[in-house]
Amino acid sequence: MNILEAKGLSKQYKDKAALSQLDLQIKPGEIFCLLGQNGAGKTTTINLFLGFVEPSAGAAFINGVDVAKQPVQTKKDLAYIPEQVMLYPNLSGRENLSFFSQLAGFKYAKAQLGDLLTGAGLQAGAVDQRVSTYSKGMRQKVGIAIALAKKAKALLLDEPTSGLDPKASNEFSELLKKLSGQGTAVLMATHDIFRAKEVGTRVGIMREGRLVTTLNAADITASGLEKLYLEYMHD
Amino acid sequence: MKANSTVTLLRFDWLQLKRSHAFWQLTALLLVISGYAAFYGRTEVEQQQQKIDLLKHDIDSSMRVVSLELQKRDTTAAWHYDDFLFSLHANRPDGTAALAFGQRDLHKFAVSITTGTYFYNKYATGYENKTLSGEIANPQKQLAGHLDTSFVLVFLLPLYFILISYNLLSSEKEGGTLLLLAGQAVSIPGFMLTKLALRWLIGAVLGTLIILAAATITQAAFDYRLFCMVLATWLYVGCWAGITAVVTAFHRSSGFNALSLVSAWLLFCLAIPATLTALLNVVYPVDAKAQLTAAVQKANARVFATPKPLLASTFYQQYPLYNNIPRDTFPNGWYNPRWVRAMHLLLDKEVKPYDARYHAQLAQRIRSTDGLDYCSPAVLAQSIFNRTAASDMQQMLAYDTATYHHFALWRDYLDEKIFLHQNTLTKKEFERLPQYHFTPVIDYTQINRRLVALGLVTLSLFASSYGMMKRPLFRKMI
Repeated sequence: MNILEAKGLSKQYKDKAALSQLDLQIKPGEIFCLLGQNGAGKTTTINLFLGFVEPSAGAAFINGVDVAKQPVQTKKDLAYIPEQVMLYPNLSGRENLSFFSQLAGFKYAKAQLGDLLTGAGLQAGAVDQRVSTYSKGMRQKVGIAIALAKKAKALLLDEPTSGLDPKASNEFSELLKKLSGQGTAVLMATHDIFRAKEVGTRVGIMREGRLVTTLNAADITASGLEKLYLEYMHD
Repeated sequence: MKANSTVTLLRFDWLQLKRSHAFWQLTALLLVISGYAAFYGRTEVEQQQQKIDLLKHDIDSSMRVVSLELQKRDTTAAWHYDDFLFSLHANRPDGTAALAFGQRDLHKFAVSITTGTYFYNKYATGYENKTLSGEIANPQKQLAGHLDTSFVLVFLLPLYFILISYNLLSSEKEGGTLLLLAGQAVSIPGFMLTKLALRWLIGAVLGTLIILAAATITQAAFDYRLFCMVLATWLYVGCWAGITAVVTAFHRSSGFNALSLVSAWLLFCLAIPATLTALLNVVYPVDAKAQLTAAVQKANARVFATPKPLLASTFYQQYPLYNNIPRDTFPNGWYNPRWVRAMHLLLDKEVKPYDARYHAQLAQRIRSTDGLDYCSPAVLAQSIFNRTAASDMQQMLAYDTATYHHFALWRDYLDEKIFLHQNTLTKKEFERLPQYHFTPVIDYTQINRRLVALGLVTLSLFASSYGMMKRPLFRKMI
């Protein structure tokens, strides 16, 4: 069964089509990477799956449930990491994680919260520091811990490695693979072709609101993917 | 929203508020002002109480002279002791009045009732007017109003509420946390209402504490009246929570919200009440009372110059039964009781139309104010506080009317002894002199009506905001 599915999903803003007729299925354990320029429709796709915007046509489904019809219900099966993870600055990393995981219906012990945060790559010494002292990378790691704590069936990522240093990006890729291995379906919008090739099961290239091609990541090299991407962008 | 989500939101929102220095600074400032307001109210009430006690002491001293005389002999000449016979009629403020001082300093709160002219005593004697009414003593205060507990609750508590609530949702957007929140299985309108509920609770608890602390300081009774004030505070804060919900539902920036809410505060707490007062002053001008005082003074001078036989004939027309005394019963000096009574009677007769006009105007003003109370939640709340504390204009009018009735009762009782009972006053008659204690009758129907109105306004504001928040959130916010 598909965890994430789009059927003829479209979004029109006045005279501009942000997304046109997207058909997409992502199964448990699959990591689908969306590549494309700014304005290609990647974030719109994610926002439609999140129910942040209403589709002009078609529908987005999470675990078979229409997002537009039951936006709150579908979020139970969904975790989301935005490009910039912003947290409550006067709470610590552990408190932020506790808050978001309790909202998702999970109550963890103090030690478990610490394990989740360190498991996501946060230094043990930073766990109880106020988030106002955190760097972007540290906040991103808390965001990952929030997603992990939710034990969601689907994970939506909007350029999650943007601004992360190579080591942090690499750790993040490992985590994604681990989640994939546990059966989580992942949809990731990214500009990072090499990261997409490295972690993705499938890669889709978007241009002007259309998914112009989809391919298995295993069937292409990183340089081949880059070449293909550039070809689509220059057409 | 699930129950445990609501508890989680409340717990973490409170944790964040607890860690905010601004929150504690604002709370401390409000509590300091509330403390001052409670002591201010207590001082005002104590001053009036002291003045009443002083007047009572003077009256008791005078009455003791008659009492001592009547202990020596069982009967005395009523007219001879006319100048010593007084009755105190006071609208004595209690501890609850200190919480909402209202109109109490604008009207007379104590009168010493004598057999003399009612209107001259009440309006034209300089000493009593200055001592037993604040209107001449401090006109500045009339412009600024009282910084009593009701002022804190009606004017400052909404400002406090606005300052802790204006950025309920906009801060989530501006801080970037809204994205993560919106990715959770929580409804954003439910999230906003939960945060608002916490702030309402803080406002309501703080308001209750302010009232209870003030009641302790002013020694007000912990009774149903205090409960009405607490309930009014809860509903009034609820009303401001509703206004905040509507403004938040526009999904605009914190700056927009702050500006809109402060504008709403200015409109409901200052502009509308000021406009209503100006309107009432135009339709029912307050100069009627000044005219009344001038008329009393003019009439007094005129009556004093009227020939005695003419005055006497007027008197006997009114009271033919008193015309049973031989002409030479009393000494012929200027302080002849027939002449004095006739003079008082003529003076009161001349002044009565002015007094009637003043009271009619006051009654009309009260009737109009009743309807206009519903124009603003602040006016409504202030009206509830004043009515509950018996400091509203209706009580002042009731006291005025009761004073006149007591005066008439006292005068008729003594006149009967002077003119019909051979100018004698027995010990028994002295002990039976009319006593009258003014007790304000609080109109709970009017208070309850206003409480219901505040509740309905709150409910309709929340219903509107919930409807507004339901759909278009993310188009504007994300």
